[in-house]
Amino acid sequence: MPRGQIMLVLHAHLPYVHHPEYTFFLEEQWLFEAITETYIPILRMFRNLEKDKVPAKLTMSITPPLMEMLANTDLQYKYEKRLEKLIELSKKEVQRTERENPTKHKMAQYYLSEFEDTLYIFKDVYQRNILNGFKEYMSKGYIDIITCNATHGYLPFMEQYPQAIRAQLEQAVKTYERHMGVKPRGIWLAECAYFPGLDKYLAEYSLEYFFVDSHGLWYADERPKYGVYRPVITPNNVFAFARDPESSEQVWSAQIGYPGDSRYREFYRDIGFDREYDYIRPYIDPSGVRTNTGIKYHKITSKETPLDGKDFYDVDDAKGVAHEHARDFLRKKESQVEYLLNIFEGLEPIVVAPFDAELFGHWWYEGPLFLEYFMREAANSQKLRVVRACDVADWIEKVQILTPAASSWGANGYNEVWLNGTNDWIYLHLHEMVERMTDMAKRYVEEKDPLKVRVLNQMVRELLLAQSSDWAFIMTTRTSVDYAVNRTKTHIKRFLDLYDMLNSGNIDVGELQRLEYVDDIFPDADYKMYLKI
Amino acid sequence: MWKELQEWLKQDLTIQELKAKAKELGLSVRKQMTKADVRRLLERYIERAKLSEPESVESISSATSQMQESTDQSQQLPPKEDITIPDSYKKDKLVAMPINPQWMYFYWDLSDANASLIKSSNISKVVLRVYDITYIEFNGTNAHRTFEIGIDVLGIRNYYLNVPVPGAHYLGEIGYYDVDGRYIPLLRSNLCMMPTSSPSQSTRERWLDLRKHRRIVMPASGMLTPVIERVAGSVQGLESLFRTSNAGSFSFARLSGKGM
Repeated sequence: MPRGQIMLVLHAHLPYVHHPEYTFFLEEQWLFEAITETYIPILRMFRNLEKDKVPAKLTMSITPPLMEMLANTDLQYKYEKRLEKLIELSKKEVQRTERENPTKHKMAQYYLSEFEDTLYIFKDVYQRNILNGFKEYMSKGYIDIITCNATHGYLPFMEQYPQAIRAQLEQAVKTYERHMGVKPRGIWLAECAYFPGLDKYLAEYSLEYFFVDSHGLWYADERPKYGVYRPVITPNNVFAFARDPESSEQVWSAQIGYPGDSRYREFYRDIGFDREYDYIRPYIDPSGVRTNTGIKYHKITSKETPLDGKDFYDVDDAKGVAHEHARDFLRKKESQVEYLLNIFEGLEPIVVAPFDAELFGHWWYEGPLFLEYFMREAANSQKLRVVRACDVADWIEKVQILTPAASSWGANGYNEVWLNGTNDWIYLHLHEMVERMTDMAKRYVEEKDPLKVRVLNQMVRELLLAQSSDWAFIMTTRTSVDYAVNRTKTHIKRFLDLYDMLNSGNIDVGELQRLEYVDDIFPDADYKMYLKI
Repeated sequence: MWKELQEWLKQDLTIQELKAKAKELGLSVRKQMTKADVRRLLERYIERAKLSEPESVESISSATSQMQESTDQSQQLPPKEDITIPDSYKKDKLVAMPINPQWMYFYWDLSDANASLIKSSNISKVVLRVYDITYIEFNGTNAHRTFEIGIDVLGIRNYYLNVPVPGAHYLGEIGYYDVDGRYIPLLRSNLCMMPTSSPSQSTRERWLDLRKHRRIVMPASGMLTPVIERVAGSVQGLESLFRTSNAGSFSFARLSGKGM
């Protein structure tokens, strides 16, 4: 009997933030929080499912900068220290909460055992590199791990520079291969940003599939017969999957989505802000500014409740809710595919539900549990089966040929998040850098002097880092604007300095060494990528 | 807290106790440190704690250019780096970029030669032109439509333009009218293909049979699934249409813990 298929896609990405010259750097905590709250809980989910012999299928992009950070020994060491401090704090909390409140005390004990387990998984199971875990579950058939643009560069704004697009893709494929040991089959395009013609470049790097937002298919050059519920193939023979708007809305919408349930954990109450200063001082930012610790004792209670009026959180209640929500989501997906099967006259619909991975765990604390329960429930479904992108690429027999429309998954569906009055100034520089990089690649095509080659390759790193769409995004959302502006300017300046060194012939080896140390992404960066015009 | 620490230090303490306390405070303790070294480390910590009341601590959205106070005495903070970047590369360039189906963006840069030309008395008006050249080989005069707006290209360096046709291909041009009213082009942009915003009107459908490696072309059957498209709207006017709540990448911005 034909069954509907659902493909859950998690996009795991953080911009490359590594400051080896500092022992503590605020923005490095983004990675550490995501490891503790999202990446390791996802691995824990696979460990649990495997133990119970539950089949599970997930598609997940782990972006090149994230792979580079997860494999970086300095960051691994810093993370371990941070986690050890957190465990130390949890132990104090266990003692302290005993006198305060039984629910709090229970949660303190829960956190302590969670963090100890996290450390165990990090250190003992995966030798500090959790990519080993993702590799393990990829080889066991649970996950399809796909790649992403080298530094999450926004490709529609490189349309006039094929070599810049190729460099983003080539470095992406190379980095994936270096960490995963095999070539990637699919790619998550940064910000889901596509423009007609991009498929040609994807095909050049043997990428078999990518993802677009719903209107990428709705407004394609020909009408997609099955809407977003079957992949299409582009004229250059690359599959495109499109986002199902219904699934995203059900899970993540602020109004009706699951994460807003009153019994779930409240994100904004953290003991980093709640405990008295002297006590919490050693566990927050060393400068003394209060930051999140990850220990949170309150639940959402209700959206109207002010932060200081929230009730205590009980993880066992929340687990029940996550299970309930997983069953509800499955029921909704079953009725959706039943409806689609009916109008498709028996052809199996494929529902694609992509999310930012960090939504699960970091923002929605119970998210990984929800996923686990969903996999368990779906394993017994008669109407639905869970698939990975690579499964569909292997099975599909007949597919419509289309060119998807220019689109992204940003606000209003196009490019305005990455190009508006807050960030438009960056493009003069980003384009200039591509042009200079290209000129230099041509001029030094036969270069043998290892020092000059090092300068050229460091220029590639500065250019790629400057191109991260994250900086433009942060400028738009006004969250850590200073950091994003400074990072952009820093990479531009370093690039221009290196360019001047090369042009003048006065190579400052000390400075080159310093830049190789502070911007230490992509050891295999190769300036000759920019010859591919 | 530093008062407690000061009191505590007055006791006769073992090196293990001192090191444990220093570690607890996040200070970096090295193996070869003597008891006096660790004491000094803790005393320096007290000195600094006296200076920095929690209320007076500056907010640190840390950045590469900005130094952070570190409790780690052994670490030399890197020197502040100059990140001044040029605001022009003195190259003649006009770049067009699509924002969404209705809006496009231009930025430009000028060589010194053209910048001084524009200032010359021979010029009566400088304009930004946009040609609609969708699916044609443009020869300078055969555009479907031509739009023009007077612009102070030396005073401003970029411009947002509302254009009429989604999916059209536009070409930008900066040019000027001389005192005799003749139009002279100066710079031409790249081709800018606007995103489409409606379902295709095509009457055909193409299919690929992957097992038989066969292409099939047939009359379009339309979309079987009903589609609910998104539409921009606002109660406050156009300004808020540029807001940024989306289905997409939001969560890591929240990773900073500051919320949105």
